[in-house]
Amino acid sequence: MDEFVRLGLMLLLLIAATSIIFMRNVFASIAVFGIYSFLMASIFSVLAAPDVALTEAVVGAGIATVLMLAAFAFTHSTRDAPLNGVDSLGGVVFLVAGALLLFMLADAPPIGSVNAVNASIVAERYVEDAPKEIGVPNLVTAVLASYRGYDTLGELTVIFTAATGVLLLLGRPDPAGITTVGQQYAPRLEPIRTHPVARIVSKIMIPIILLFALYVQFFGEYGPGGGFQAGVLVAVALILYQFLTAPEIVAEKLPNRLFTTLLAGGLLLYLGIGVMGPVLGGNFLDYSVLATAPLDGQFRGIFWVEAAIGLAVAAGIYSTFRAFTAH
Amino acid sequence: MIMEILTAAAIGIGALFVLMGVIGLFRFPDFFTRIHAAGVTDTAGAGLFILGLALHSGLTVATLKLLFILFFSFFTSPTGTYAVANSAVRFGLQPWIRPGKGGADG
Repeated sequence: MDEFVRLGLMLLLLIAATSIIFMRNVFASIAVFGIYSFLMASIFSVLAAPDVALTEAVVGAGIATVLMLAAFAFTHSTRDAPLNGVDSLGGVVFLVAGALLLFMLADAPPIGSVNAVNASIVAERYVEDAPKEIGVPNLVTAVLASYRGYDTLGELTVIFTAATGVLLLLGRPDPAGITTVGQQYAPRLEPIRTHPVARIVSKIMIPIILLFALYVQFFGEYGPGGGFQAGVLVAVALILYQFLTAPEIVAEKLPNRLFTTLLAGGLLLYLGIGVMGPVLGGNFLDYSVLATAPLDGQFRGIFWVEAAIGLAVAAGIYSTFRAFTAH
Repeated sequence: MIMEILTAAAIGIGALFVLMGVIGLFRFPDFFTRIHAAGVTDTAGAGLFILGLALHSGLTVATLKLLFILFFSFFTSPTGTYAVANSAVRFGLQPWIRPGKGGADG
């Protein structure tokens, strides 16, 4: 019975997702997107994850739909009904749903409680078995890159999707069109890249930032750090470089294609490491099979997954910045 | 004991600078005077905080790291303020001038 419910919900989810892609009417696609979120919440609750289901219902079906409808109402030139006045039915739904949520919140374990599910079962398992199973000194990295590697893959996909969305909306920046912000408005004054103070300080900082990024990248297995943080640092160094350098030189040394390739390449590298598991006779994203000794395999897998994250995050953030400055 | 007093003094004076910076941020009349106040928070405030923390942790690796942060923020914060103020000038933002003290609209 449970299997049928799950299968049916999955099927409906698939139908909703495909129909969103093929829909021409924005308003209808927003409505179907709400249904999609509702189905997602139902699947989560069938899978015995009520907290995730609640979050999906509130954020996905609730706030996201309202935001999209509001954005639609503000941008649509020939909207039928203006958004003024309080809809009494909507108000009642809002109050009832809010009261229900607050009521359910009373059942949640207090923050930091040792009896909470995540603290009692999962955390104990990680703390006790991670040194034997993963062998990486930093427990956070062991959880992030190996135990919950699937979640992290999802996070990287989110970054990829966000950056791709920005690039699609703002257009691929024209290589010749990169300008330092404000340059075209006040030609009477020199741009910041010609100022000695900014030049000297930034030129000293860029190599140090890059070195620190490498440290953060490779130190992730032993302490705080990893691909996400290192990727942001690399992106910051690149942004600083762009401020200091003439647009033509930036376009020549850092072509746009490099970053779109790295963005997609990072995600593909992560997926490739994941697929190596089944190829070598393990599960998806199981690194133990990547070397003869399971711990060596874990180390290898985590290293490359972190590298993939670093590449994709750096490329994603820098190309997002570039897309904005090109306009 | 002496270290503790020095630590408390550094952090206390740092907090005073941050407070002054915040008051300035709200009370000053225009962008340039405000960014000046924010700059005080960044350099004097944060700098004295880090100095106090370094005094507190003594001769350890943590102190070395704190001194690195102090060194870098000492250069980067004013440069950042400079760059922002510079781009404001390039966008054509006029500085505020006290009424009656001469100047373009005085």
